[in-house]
Amino acid sequence: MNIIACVKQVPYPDTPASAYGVDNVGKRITLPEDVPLVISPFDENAVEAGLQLKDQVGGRLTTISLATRPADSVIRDLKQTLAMGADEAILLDDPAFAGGDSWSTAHSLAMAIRKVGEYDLILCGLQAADWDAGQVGLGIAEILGLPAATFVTRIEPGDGCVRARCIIENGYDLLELPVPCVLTVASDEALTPRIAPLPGIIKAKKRKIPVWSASDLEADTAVVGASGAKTVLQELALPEFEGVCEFITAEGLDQAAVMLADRLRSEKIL
Amino acid sequence: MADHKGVFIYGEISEGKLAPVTLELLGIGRRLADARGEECAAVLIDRKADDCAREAIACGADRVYVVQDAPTEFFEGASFTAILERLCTETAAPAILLLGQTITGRDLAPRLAFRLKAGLVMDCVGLAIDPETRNLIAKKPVSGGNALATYALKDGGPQLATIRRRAMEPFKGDERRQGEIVNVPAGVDASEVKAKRIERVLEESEGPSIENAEIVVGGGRGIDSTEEFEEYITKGLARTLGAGVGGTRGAVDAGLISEQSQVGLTGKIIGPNLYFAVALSGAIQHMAGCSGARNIVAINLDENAQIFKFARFGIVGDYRQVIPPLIERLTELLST
Repeated sequence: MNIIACVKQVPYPDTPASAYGVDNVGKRITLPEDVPLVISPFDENAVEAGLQLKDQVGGRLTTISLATRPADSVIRDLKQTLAMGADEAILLDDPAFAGGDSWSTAHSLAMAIRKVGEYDLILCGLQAADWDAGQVGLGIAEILGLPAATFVTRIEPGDGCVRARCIIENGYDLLELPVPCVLTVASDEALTPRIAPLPGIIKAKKRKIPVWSASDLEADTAVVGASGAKTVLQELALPEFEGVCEFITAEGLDQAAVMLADRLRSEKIL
Repeated sequence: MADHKGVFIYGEISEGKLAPVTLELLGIGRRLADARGEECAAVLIDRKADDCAREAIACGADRVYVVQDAPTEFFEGASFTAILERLCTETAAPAILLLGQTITGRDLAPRLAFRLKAGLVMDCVGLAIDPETRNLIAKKPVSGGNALATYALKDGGPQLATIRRRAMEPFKGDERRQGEIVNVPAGVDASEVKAKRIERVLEESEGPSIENAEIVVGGGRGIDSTEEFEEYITKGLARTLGAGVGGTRGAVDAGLISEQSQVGLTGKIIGPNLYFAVALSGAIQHMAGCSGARNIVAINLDENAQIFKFARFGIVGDYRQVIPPLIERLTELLST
C-alpha cells in the first residue's frame, strides 16, 4: 500500500498560556525563542497510522511538509518521520507558498501529491495545533476528487478499500471507503507515535530531503500562497481571563469541603 | 457568477428536534441576514424534517429548504456535500452559509467550501458583517485557545463559517413568525455515496450527556487511576449531583475515561451551570471546551494551577480528602 502523510510543524502545543503574545503588525503569534517546533500532534498520529498499515501489509510511506517555518527545522522534523520508519520525505519550500491559508495550502499539497503519483491512501491530521483550521485534509480530497472520512482513530486495510473507525458524537462509525482516499486522523491511544529507533535516527540524519518549489509542482501561483488565500487575517488578540477565585480554606480539608458545599447552596448555584 | 444573496444555515436534527447548535445558527443567521437586509434560510436534510421546519421558522428562518430523499438515512459526507452544492448553486445562491462546529459540520463545511471554491473559517465564536464591504468577519480561537484571530472573508462567491457551540445566542422563538417551507429533491443518487457504513457503535455513558448537563464533574491526569476516577468522580461526586462526567485530553490518554467524554478543543463543548474541575490543571485546550460553564469549582493540589484563574471557588488539596466530606454535605443539602 502506498501511503502519503502530510505533516505540519507547529510550536510545542503544551507551551503555557503565559508565553503567548501577538504581533498585530506582522499578524503573527509570538513565542519565546526557546519554545521548540514539533510535528503537530494529530499529524504525528497520522504518521503512526501510516506506519502501522505499512507494518501490516507492506508498502511505502511518504511524508510531505509545506514549510511555514524555517526550512532547516522542518527538515529536522521530516527526518524524524524517516527515523520512525517513513521511506521518503519531501519538503515544499518556496516564497510563493508564503502567507497561505487552508485553501492555498491544500492546493500546494494536492499538487505535490499528484507529483508523487502513486498513492492508495492520504493521511492528514484532523487539524494543526497552530491555527486549528481543520480544512486541509478534506480540501486535498476535494481537489483530487477522492473519497474522504474524518475523525479517524483506526484503519484496517481491505481488498481495494480501507475500513476506518470514525468518532461520532456518542460512539463511532465503522466506514468502508474505496482506495485511493483521504483520511483525517484524530488522536487515540492506539496511534501514540512510536519512538524512533537509534539506527533509524542515524540513518535518517544522512538522508537528503528533496525540496520542491512552486514551479516543480507546476503550481498556478494564483492559487498557492497569499494570492490563493480566501481569508485575510485582520487581527490577533490574547484571551482575557476573567473572575477571581475565592479559595476556601479551613482547619482541615473536611471542613473546607463542607464550607464549599454551603457556599454553593448560599450562592444558589446548587 | 450569480448575485449571491441571503444567509443559509445548515440545520442538524437530534431526537426529532432541532439540535441546540441549530438554534444558535438560526440566531446568528437571523442577525447577519438583518445586517445585510436579506433573507435567512435553513436547510434540513432529514427524512423526518417536516416537524422541525416549522420550528426553524419560529426560531428565525424566513424559508426552510427540506430535503427528504437523501440517498442515506444518516449523514454521509460525499453525498450531503453534493446535495448542498446543488442547493447553493442551482436552487439558490447564498452569500453566507453557516454550519455548526459539530462532528457533521467539521466534515461537511471544508468539503463544501472547496467544492464551491469558497472561503471558510471554522470554529467561530463571533461573526459580523463588515458594514463597508458587506463581507463576513469571523473570530475564532487559535493555538488551542491561546489566542483569538479575526478573519475577513474575501469577495466573490459564498462565504462559509462554522460556529462553536454556546458561543452565539439563539433567536427568541416566536410561533407567529411567517415563513415558507420548500421541499427540494436531493437530486443526488446512491452513486454519490462514497463511504459505506459497516456498523455504528454507540457507547453507553453513565449519567446525562455532558453537552446538555446542568452540572458536569470533570477529572484530569491528576486522578491516580481508573478505579479512583470511578470511585471519586463517576460513582462519587457525579452520581451524588446527577451530573455528567467529563475529562481532559490527559485523562483520555491516561485511559481514565473514554474519548467520548473528553471536554476541550478537540472534544465536547459543555456549558453547565456548574463545573467541578478535579485534579486538572486548566490547560487552555481543555478550557476551550468549558468556556460556557457559568460557575467553575476547582479542586487541585497545586495552588498555582491555571484552573484557579478560571474558577469561582477553589480548594487546594487532595481530591481523596475533599470529595468524601463534600459528597456527605451535598447529600444533606440536596435532601432538604
